Amino acid sequence: MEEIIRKLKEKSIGGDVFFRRGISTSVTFEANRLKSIESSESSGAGLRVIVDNKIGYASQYGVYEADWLLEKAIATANIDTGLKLPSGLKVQEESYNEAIDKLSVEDLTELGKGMIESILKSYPEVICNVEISKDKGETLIRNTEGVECLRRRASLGLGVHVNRIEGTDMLDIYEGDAVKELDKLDKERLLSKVFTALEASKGIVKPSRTQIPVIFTPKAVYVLLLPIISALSGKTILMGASPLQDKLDKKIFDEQFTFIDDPFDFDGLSGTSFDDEGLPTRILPLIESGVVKNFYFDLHTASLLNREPNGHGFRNGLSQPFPGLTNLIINPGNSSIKDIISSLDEVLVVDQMMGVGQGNVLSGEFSVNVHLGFLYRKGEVTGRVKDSMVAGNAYNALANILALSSEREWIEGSLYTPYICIPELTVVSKE
Amino acid sequence: MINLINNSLDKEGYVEEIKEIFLKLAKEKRIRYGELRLEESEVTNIGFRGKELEELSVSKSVGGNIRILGRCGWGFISFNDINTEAITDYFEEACNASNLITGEEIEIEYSDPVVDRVVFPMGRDFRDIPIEEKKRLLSEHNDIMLNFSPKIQSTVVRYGDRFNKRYFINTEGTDIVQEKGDISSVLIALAREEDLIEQYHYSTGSIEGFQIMENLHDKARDTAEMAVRLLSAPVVKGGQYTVILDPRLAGVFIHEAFGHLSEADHVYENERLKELMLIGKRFGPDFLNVVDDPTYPNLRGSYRYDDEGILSRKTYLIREGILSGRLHSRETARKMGEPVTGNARSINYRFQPIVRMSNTFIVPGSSSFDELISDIKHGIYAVGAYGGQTSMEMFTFSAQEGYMIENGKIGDMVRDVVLTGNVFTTLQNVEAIGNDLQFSQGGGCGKGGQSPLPVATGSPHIRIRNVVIGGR
Repeated sequence: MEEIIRKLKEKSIGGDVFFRRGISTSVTFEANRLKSIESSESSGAGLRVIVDNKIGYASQYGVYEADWLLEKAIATANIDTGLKLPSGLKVQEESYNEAIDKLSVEDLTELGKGMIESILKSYPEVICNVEISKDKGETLIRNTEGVECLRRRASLGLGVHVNRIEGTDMLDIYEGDAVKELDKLDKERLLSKVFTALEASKGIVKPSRTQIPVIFTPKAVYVLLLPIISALSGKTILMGASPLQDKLDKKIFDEQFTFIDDPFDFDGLSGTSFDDEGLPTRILPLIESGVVKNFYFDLHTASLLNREPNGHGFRNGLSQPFPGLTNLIINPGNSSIKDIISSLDEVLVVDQMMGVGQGNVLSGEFSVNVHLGFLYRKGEVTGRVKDSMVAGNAYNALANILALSSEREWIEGSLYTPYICIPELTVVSKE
Repeated sequence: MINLINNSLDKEGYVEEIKEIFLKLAKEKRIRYGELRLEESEVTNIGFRGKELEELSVSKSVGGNIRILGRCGWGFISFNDINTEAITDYFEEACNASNLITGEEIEIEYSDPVVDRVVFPMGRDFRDIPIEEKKRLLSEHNDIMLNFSPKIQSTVVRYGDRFNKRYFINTEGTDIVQEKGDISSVLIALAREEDLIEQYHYSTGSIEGFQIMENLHDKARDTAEMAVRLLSAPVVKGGQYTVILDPRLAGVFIHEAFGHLSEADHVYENERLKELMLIGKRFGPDFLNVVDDPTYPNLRGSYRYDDEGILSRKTYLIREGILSGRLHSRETARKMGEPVTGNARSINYRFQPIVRMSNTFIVPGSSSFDELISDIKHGIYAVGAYGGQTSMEMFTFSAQEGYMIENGKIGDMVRDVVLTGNVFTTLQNVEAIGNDLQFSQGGGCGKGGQSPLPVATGSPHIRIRNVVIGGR
């Protein structure tokens, strides 16, 4: 990398080099037994150059060649930009958890076996598929202005899929967790969620009417957030295609709704003190008590919009930076989920959906299959709802929230959210 | 030790030496079955967002993997630092991993060795076309959309080409090299009227070369026009309808509704699912025929050998309404006692091959469009595809636009048409199949974290009764 930076400087070309390396080990259980053990080593580098205010980009997976990257990046410099590379930040960020690092393949296998045994002990008729993976990654960013940022991370991911078939009825429950500290892995919570879903799925029921209150569990909340996340991205603002384009500091959503990007939240997997362009990150309130507070940008997008960059340029693998988010946090409400459910005559609790994001996301419209959902009457679960679609508009839904639960859960280490209850959505079921 | 010079596998004798080391180690360790895959690819991406050029970049990649069958499971390692010393270490690691798995023994189907080199020819090879020319063409498409109407707020134009060369050897003596170029592209127009924003897209792809990009000007115009028209279309009213699916949506429908359930890796270890998916069981009417065919020429899901070195072939999934076959890997075929089909695929060297579709389609019937629609009193004509998802039993698929059908006539446009179905009832509800088979090549399939895998979906227009459509 030093060589590339030195050569860029010799040519008086500005640029940044992004280097990534990762090692991962995973064990996969199929139909209750260990099926495969896998490891992967990967590395690669991406080079962005700015030649006469034009961006060029080249990347290479595998052992990288400085001259090839330089030649190709310079040859592709076509994209007009006003971006100024940040200068000076020198950080080494380590979030290695030794306990995770030390886990052997045997440890991962035991963990998986233990989970499956616990489930089969109570529910011998089900089939479990489990995948556990341990990942270790290193990211290094350097630029011609002296930025040198290094980030090392380790994490453990656990995914459980439980399948039960009765007649032609198939039940599939997916639970998972991702942590960066081993003692944060809460197997019991995960198992209890699986058990609760298995218990609640004992019969198929239908809502009594098409307009009913709907609760989205933490796993399902994303369907409401996706349009908001898209609308706040600098890229969407740049296109003039965001419904929130001219709504900064305006109250658009319910005042119970506060939505923050927090790169410093310790339990989140996406936390970092610098973004993938070498800019310090900051806590970014996106929606505060229903008021639109901030859009998020990478350097290039901010420059095209004449806005201050806000440390949210991230990359996917070796892609060019784009506006991205870190740990998403939604503020909790005051009532427990149990109390919210009990307070309603009839409510559909949606836990898993199919078809999220398949449609015109920007408009906020959603129409999704209830893959796993339960109907409650006066606090008691009456059974599972299937062959049904729940539809609505995310903007309307989040403008009129009945309640947020006091409990919150981490979803895949990147979203920390309560249950969200919407007073009325349309549920269409097969006749 | 030989190091990869200039990070390319294309060096005289280099791949041969790596292969020899692998085979020697496999013999020494008495491996019953093992594979080595080496792969290199070069990618160009170009994109516009509104008036701005957003992306113009090139990328290349070299990597490989080793997969070894132990007594009771698979050991797998992927890597992209390739040299003759490291290969020995990778081999040891995969071998050790495979030996750590204990329990029930597994077996696979073996095959006769194949030595072959397959090159998919391109009309205009995109590697010979200057990036400037590609950019100019895309900017023409972009301008057509941007200038279509003042209501066009913005656009997205994306193009990617990838040339991929795969070397595959296994301990059976198979030695295959496959080279293929793949293009994928999408045009998106966004129309805006006050706070209402609608979008329409056209996506396509091909393994046949760059010429497919040269005839998209009309598509760009149509895409912009549809985005504007959607602004005045109301949201569909939710309910149960008789629907006609156009070929694009019907292709996604069959991929989600039945294709995934035909993948034997979902079934082979699940006794109850096996009972539901017995060969010979009726799933649809007599006139329903569904095929997966990687040998169909020149589609994005076409290939000669799968990623386990098995020769590809055509498989009838449903013949005359009856479940008649399914897609297999070596392992699933053996376990279920059915023939291999050559459907074990992986998107790249980082992943193990899993059972995937290739080109999946509904075989055309005899009905004309008029015959399909004429006796529908109240229904919906659903056109174009955003995508779909399945959980095996239930599935969803979404249209880009819909039209009300009233008394056999196409009426007003509606938007946000998302359909859902159940594999045990919806296929039985297929009422008629058109005669106008068309393939779509703009989509990629996702499964097991491997996405997007190039596939093609195809169908004529089809008619289905009692389909649940979500809506407010």
